[in-house]
Amino acid sequence: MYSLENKGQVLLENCEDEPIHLLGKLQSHGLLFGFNHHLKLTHFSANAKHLLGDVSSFEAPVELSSILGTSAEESAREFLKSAQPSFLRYDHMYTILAEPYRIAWSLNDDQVLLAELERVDPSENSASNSSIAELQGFIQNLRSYHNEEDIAVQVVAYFRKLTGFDRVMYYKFDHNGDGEVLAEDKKVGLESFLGLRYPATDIPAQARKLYERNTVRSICNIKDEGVPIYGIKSTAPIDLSLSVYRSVSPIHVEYLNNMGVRATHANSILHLDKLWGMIICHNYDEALHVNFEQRQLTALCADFVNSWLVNSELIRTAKRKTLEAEWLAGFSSGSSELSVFDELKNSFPLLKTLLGISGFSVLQGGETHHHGMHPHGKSVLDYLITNMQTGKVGEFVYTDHHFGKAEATEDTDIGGVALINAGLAEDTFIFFYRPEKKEVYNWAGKPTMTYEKSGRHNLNPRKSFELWQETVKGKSIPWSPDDVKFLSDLTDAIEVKEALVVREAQEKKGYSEVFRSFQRKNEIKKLKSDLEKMQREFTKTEQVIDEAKRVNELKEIVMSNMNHEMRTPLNGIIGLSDLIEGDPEASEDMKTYAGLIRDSSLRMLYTFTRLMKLDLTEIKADKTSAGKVVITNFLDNLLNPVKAKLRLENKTLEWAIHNSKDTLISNPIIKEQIIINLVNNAAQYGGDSVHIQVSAKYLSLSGKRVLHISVEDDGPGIPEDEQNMIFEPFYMGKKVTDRLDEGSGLGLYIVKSYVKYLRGTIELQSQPNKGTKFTVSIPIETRDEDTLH
Amino acid sequence: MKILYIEDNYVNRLIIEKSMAKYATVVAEENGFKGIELGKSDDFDFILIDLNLADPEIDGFGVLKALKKEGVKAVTAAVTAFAGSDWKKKCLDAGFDLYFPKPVRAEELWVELNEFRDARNA
Repeated sequence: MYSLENKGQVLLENCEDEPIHLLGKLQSHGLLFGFNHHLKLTHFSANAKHLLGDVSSFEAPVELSSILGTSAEESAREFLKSAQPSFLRYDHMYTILAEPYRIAWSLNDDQVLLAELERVDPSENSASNSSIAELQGFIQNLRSYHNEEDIAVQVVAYFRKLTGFDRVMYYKFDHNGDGEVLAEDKKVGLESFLGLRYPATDIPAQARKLYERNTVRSICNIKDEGVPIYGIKSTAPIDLSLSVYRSVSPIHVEYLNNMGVRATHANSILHLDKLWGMIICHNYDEALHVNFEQRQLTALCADFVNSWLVNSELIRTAKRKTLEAEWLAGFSSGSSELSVFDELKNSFPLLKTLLGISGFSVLQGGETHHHGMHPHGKSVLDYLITNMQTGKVGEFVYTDHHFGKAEATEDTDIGGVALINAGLAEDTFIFFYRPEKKEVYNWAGKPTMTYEKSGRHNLNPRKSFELWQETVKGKSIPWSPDDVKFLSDLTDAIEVKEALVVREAQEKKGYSEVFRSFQRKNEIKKLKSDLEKMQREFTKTEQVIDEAKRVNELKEIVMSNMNHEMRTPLNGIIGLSDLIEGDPEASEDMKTYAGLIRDSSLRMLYTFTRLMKLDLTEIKADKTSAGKVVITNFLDNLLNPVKAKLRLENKTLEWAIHNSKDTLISNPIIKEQIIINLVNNAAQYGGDSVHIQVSAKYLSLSGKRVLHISVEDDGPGIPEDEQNMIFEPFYMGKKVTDRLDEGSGLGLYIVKSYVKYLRGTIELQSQPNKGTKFTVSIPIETRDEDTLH
Repeated sequence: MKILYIEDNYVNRLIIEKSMAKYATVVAEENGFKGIELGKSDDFDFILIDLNLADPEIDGFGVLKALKKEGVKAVTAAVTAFAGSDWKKKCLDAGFDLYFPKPVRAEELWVELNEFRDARNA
């Protein structure tokens, strides 16, 4: 068995470190038992020993039931099943050793089940009914109050009536942790503390934490020494954070003593699990015991205030959020043409309400625009930027008093300023100004002197609570977390809008880029497909050419074979016929017959040869022939022998070239054939003593150079109805000719084919007895024919 | 004058033999190689060669080449059913002095052969 009383001296340098939950002592009016999860006794307070009965040694574990009874044990088990952190459960009365006790169960952080007992005073019961009725009245009234101050007034009145403390205060903390007395109900004659401020240090941090966990704190008598708590097996301090009767820290005792307080009771007002305020009761002359029920009622009352707070905060937040949303929606849907400054200016009334600002400035691209209250020197803004800028776009800083330290020499009524940088492409500094709020703080004692030095080398809690007035200047209402959040949202909204504008422009550009690149892609696709088409056609053409080549080759083979196969037997027929005809021993009839055989064969040969002449392989050779002849020589060479031959038949042939006599003639063989055939035709059909005239001349017709060749005769002419027929192959005319060795009806057909090949035209002028004139027009391809001059 | 005619076709040989007989002595030979042997003796004035010989191993061009190699001095002429200027060129390029497409008439043949011979000897 070990006493867990912490006897170590606490030095005030580290009063925040004071382990006030591990003091190992209990206020005397409470009893404490500690059990492990098997419900075996582990701890007990000194004043509970008598309830242990005969137990003198603790070798054998002591059951809970043996101390508190079986129903208490049942209750304990039930509690353990549902136990939650910071949960304290008040139980009903139990009779232990013939005395009525109330038990409060809690499970501490070390998993020790604490059973705290308080002996019930029977006389106290009568008070409960009226107290509950009063609480009910209080709760009903809660509905009609809409601000905290009014509620505070009601709360303190109720508390005082319930408990009888000399003074009850509703204490509200500000963002610094300093407390202000919002409402007070006090005994007549006492000095009023209403409106006084208490520095944050009056309630050190670990105490605040405890107030957050354990929301009811009763100290009945600061003079009570308290009773130690014993640990049966362990020397480890017992965590009394959740304890109802936990004893008071010496420093706290001293503090209360300095204030003249003898007994105190405090309830925590929490909001979102953080200390929002406190309801503090003080008694000055006498100790005051708040009994079990009274404590419960105060707890209930405080809980109702908590609920009201939650509600009111929710309403307040919702109202604010609505305004914020209104502003954000208005800003986002506003025209993108307006500058940030103009947008803010337009929405200034709303911003004013939301942020509590009286003016703003926008510094962008070297230009500054102000609206409303603003500092007059640019150097101030620069100063602020330099000193306040975090360097990262999107972050911002704010202060409620920095402004007073700026280099501004002008009088300004600006207290606080928030600075944001909401630009994406370039810095856009926006300053929001809060007006100065002059405050008079009534400190209960000089706030900087919370602890006094004494000769004992420790600091004692302050003794002086004398009113110390402080006039706060150059400060604005501080920026609340809601303000900060909204500034962040505002920054985002501005940046998003800028991004959207940029993106819109980019998209437009991007769209046209995309469109253009799409067009280009399309064009390329089209070009590709055109190219493919062309390639396919080319391939087809190549194929066709190949085919044509093959056909041509085949034709040549066939042709030459045919040639050979025709000529060989013909040679035989003709030759042998000649032999017969020349054989002196042959009869006249046989000679005649042989002659006829030969002539028939010759004619066949002649026809065949003319047909073969249409073979263009001959013509190709013609085209590639190197020697080009001047037209005059050409005609002379061609027609001189014919002229001689025709003279024998009493027919005349003349020719003339009318111009460009030096022209080199192209395709001489084909032209030769054309002229010869026409001349022969004229000779054949012209009758006896026909005169044939050949003339050639060069002309330009519609910009194209043309060679005209005409073959004219003074023969009988061609009847009109025959004029079309004569160009047909094998047409010999209606007039029968008995000349078997000449004429195949192919002459004009050949002429027509050759003229077509040369892309020329042929014209016939003839009337019966008026002669015949054939005119051939051949276009000159300048690369084939050139002039010498 | 003597004419050597190398030709595989009987009818053709017959015609030339008979029709040229009045101008000159005609030796008609069927086989190409035999024709070369005959030509080597070099007492012909004119050697007429059919291009399309039956022998798979030699054709008219081959016979001509062989004869030329032997330094035969006769006037050589291709006599052939292969008609056309291409063939003419081919034959002249190959070394034939003259080219006669069939059917060829005896008189024309004799005139041309002599004209050429005279022109060459002049």
